[in-house]
Amino acid sequence: MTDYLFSQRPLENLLVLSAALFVLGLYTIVTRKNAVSVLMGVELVLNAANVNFVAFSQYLPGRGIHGSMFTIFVILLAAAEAAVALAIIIGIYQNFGRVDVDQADLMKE
Amino acid sequence: MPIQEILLNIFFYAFALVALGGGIAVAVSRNIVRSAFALLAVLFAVAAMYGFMRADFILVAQVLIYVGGILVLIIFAVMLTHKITDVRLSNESAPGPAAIFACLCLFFALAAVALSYRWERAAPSREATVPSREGQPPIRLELSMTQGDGRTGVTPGGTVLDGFVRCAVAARGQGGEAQARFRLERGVLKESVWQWSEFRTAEARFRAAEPGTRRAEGSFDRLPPGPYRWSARIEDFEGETAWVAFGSQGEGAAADFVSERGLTKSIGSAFMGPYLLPFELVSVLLLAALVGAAYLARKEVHRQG
Repeated sequence: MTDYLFSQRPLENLLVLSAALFVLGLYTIVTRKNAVSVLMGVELVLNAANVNFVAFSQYLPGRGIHGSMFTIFVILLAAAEAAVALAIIIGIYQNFGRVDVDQADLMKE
Repeated sequence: MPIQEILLNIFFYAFALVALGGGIAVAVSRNIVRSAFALLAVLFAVAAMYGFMRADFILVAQVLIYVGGILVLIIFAVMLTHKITDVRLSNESAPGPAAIFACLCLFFALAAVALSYRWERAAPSREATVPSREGQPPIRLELSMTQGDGRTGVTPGGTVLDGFVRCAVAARGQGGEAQARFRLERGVLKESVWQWSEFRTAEARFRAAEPGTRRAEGSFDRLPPGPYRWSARIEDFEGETAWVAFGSQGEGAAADFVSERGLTKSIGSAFMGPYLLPFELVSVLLLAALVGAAYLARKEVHRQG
């Protein structure tokens, strides 16, 4: 049991948690029809990747802080991506009246 | 186990449960407003994970940008694209056995890799000053250790491990030919008292003979499981120093290496140093995204004539 405590094996615990978050995000992306929900799934996947980056950067020796730097860039790019994606979603809503990804298969109505 | 460690574990598993529950709610909730607020819980729990990893700057960035920015944007989108009255059908999903099966397989594959791979880990390096010998400046030693296995635990006497250990020693303030000797002792519990006997030694020659900082590395491979502690000393033609132990409290502690002082300072200097170009590119990209989002979301103006 103590084998699975966070204080004994922090890296492995965090990796399993981020695997779970990644899979949940992937499931959300695959099964949802609503574009906003798909975007939430993307955010889950990005968060899982960020946890991995920081965990490796903090717990593996001698590799500097590059993983943490990458996480900051991922967060910034996620902000840009969310802004553009939501603008597109609002554009789709204005054109089609709904935001289902399986129906918005044309660039314009 | 000390009380801090028990609390640490309790809080870790509580936040992990929040993250998992929130993630499940994001994935399966039929109400999109509930999904959005579950995402809020997930983002806060991930911020707490950064706290456990002592990545303070990233914790604050997560709360500010993800929770304060992205999540608010998502909730805005939810409110703008749905009539609040038909929440019942607002978040249709098309689950199929194939999707569930594929996701479960992926999860077990990832978790198996994470749990079975033998990640390297390091103990915090330790500095020691060896008393000076006659006519010699005192030697300052810095010992560091990498340990090649996930399955470690700290016993009252030392560290249980199986795998390999790499030790390194850096000595300052001494010139001339020298070598480092690393000693590994294995412990036996006899009548509730730990007794340590020499198990293996390894030698390493210093790479540079001139005065200044010199470094030597030794390694122990294929260690059977058991409690160990390890130490090092410097030997040269005039004699040898005392044994200096690795780890804290003179024992081989298997603490994981995490920066003690937080990340903010090193992240700041990295942004102004090797990451200056990506930093500026990201600022241009954010500006472009701002303009592009405003352009995409504008109302179309139909001019007459």
